[in-house]
Amino acid sequence: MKRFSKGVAIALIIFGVLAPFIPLLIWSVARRWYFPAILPTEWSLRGWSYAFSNASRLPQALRQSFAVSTTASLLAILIGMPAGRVLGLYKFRGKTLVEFLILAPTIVPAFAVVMGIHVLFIRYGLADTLSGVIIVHLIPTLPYVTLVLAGVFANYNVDYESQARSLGANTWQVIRYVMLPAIYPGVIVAGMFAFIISWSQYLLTLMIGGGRVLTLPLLLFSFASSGDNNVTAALSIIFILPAIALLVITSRYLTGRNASLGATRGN
Amino acid sequence: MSALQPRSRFTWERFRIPLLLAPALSVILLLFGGGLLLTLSQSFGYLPIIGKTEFSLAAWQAIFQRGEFWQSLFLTLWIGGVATLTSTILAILCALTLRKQFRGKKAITFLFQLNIPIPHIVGAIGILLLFSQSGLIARLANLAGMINDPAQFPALVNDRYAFGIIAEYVWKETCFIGTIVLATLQSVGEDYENAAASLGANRWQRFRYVTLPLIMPGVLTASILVFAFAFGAFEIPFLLGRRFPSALSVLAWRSYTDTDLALRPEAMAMSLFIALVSTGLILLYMTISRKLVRE
Amino acid sequence: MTTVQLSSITKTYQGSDFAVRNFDLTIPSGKITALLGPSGSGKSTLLKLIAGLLTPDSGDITFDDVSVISTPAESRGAVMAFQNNLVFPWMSVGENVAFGLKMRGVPKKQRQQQAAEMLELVQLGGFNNRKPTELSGGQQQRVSLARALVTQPKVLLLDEPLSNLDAHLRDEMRTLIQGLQHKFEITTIVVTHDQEEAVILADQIALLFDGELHQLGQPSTFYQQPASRRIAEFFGGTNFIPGTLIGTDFRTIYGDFTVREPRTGVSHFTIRPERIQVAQALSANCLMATLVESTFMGTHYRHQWQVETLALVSTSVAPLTLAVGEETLLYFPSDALTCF
Repeated sequence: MKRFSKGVAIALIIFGVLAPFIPLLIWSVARRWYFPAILPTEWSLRGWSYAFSNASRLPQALRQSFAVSTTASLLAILIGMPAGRVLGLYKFRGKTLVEFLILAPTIVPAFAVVMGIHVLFIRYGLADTLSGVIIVHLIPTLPYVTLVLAGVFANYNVDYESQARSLGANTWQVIRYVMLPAIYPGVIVAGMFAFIISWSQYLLTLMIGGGRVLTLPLLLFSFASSGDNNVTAALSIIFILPAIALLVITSRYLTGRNASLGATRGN
Repeated sequence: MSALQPRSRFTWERFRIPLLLAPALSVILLLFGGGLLLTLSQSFGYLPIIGKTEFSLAAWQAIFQRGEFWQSLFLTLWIGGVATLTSTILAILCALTLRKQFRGKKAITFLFQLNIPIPHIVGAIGILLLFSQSGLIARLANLAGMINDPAQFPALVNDRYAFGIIAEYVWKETCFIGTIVLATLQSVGEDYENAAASLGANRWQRFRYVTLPLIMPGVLTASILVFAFAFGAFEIPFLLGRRFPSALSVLAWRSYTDTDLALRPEAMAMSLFIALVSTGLILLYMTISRKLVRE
Repeated sequence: MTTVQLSSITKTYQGSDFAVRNFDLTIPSGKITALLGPSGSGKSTLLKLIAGLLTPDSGDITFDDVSVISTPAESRGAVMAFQNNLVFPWMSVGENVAFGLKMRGVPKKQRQQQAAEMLELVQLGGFNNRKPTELSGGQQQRVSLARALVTQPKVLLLDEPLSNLDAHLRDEMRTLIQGLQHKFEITTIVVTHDQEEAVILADQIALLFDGELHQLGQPSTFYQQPASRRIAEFFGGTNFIPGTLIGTDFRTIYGDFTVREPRTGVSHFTIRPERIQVAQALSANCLMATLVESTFMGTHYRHQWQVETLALVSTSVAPLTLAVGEETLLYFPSDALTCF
């Protein structure tokens, strides 16, 4: 009886997690699927072939999405790593304030910020450009990267650096041969989280990109509101692939506990 | 005298912390802080660089007098509250189930974390295809003979009670909170519960007096994050919500994109209102997590 | 006063060998029994089986001839004090001690009073409102002990109660445990990997290797009559001399020795380092040995000897008048020789 109820609970969890994916998968290969049919009466790969054709603008969206998300996450790592090191390793006056400033953008919705900035972006020619979109994507990604890296540095033994220094390594060599190799898995995780956060942005891209910059979520949104379920489903599946890759890679590098690091606080 | 008092020498060492913080902090202060200030000043109708030099409280007065604002606020609080409470309870139940030993535990724990990085938009589309009146659930209800026509199926998407929106949040955030709870449970192990059992605590007492206090810090902080997110999120209520009343973020966005430019300051004021509530929640989050760390 | 009886207990963990196999043991009432063994010997498994935190695959556990196998941990009356204390950090010291009473529905006033009294007994009077994190490791251990005792258990189970303590605290804790055990006349089972801890605490020691009972008896017998070389080694024995026993005559390639009683099937004898003496005159049970090294150990001297290919160790309170490299005659009293 006990074993049975445990089995039921586990089955419910599996079903609950997977449920929204079921209609997505079916719709992506359906042709005719009218109420009340449980399964499509006619199957077809139309959704997929249309999605990959130029008519759907998927190639453009993929290109721009990759360009924006890759650049934004690389920048976030570059800018966030020094701060992450300080927050993870040192105690100093005003640390609480710094933590607050870094935590705030992860919780305050970014559109409240971007509404204000928009005018300036228009004025300085950053609106409707890829660089403008990349800059606003730093608002949600940079704090996450900094917090994840603070967590990584908190578990990093800085004495190795002193050891390397006493063996004759200079600052650059210490970074190159001691720090980076030690924190490298954490940096990859942080970078992938930043990528996913940027990859999922809809409203910021819409506001600053003004329709000129077309990323995957924008394309997905327009198909979702057009009601073309086949293409929407196919695009949704393409859209979640990086997230699944992230999970597979992080679970190999780290344990499940750390996989949620990006979503929890870093310290 | 100079022999006793070493002259303070200039070293980079003293500036190391500010220097290392500088890149990230300046980007955040400039983009985020500056952006918020610009939103604030525009909510007062004041922005000299585009020639607006008048300062007025009109937008703020207007939103607080608009019935729609209060309805939206109430709806947003309802969505955030119900979604947070439901996902917290489900998350605890899931974590308690998944902590036990069973076959395929590794795979199922992996699956449980699957939708944490999945974008909300995809979750929303999945929920739409599941719960709409011609969705998969309605078809199953038809198969079971409960309905004959899509119109007989209760409206669960774009509905009064925001069921669809809440369902999407619950689907995603249960896994988020649950993963945190599961991590706590697995790092602590069953020792405290065993100690309590040995001292005479039954199943319920062990949960109430040992397990719950153990997971409470993680549950509380995670719930605050979930509530704050649900309070400010845009995409889900935009896709799965009704046009009227809409969630606060959607109302702000519609005012912002309205052809009537006079509504822009109101959009700014509403966005800032959401930002203020979020800031309050961050402070709460920091206070709680700090207190717990100290203990 | 409860007698605990383990009969043919077997416990296997998923995917591993037996933790304990066909285990029989009687734990006398009102005494301290130590379950002693290296890590992985199954002693902690036994403790959890008695506590009800694990269920055996087969066999029976009785308290005063009543089977408790189907009694869950919380109503079994065998309370365990864990090695790492497990004082609940989210409760005050007083709430921790009163926890077991609260679970039994004892009214608040009464349980607070009992907890306060028990804290007095473990020399933590007035600590009720402190937070566990403010206490030292030794104090937490005493809270854990008080928390177990206040429920008036039939059996008290202590997991490595002295292992985490400094030398000076060890003695204090030992006195406290023995005093309380005596006061409440409670059947107590101590699990430990440390032979010294077992010897100073227990009235009876059960020695386990690989999930099986290897020797049961009073602490002194493990020094005087170890049942095997492995046991002698576990108790710090180092001198093992191979040979054959004929009657009471133990013949070795180094010489012949007289032992107290004849036994069959033996191949070694052992002697504790403190029993080897420098001989005054040539007699039976003597060997010529070369001093290799002599070290002052703080309270005694430790000497290493070489007899042809055989290395021996002895100890003495006074230093030897011998220089390293010199030879002397060593005497092995026949009542100190144990054969196996």
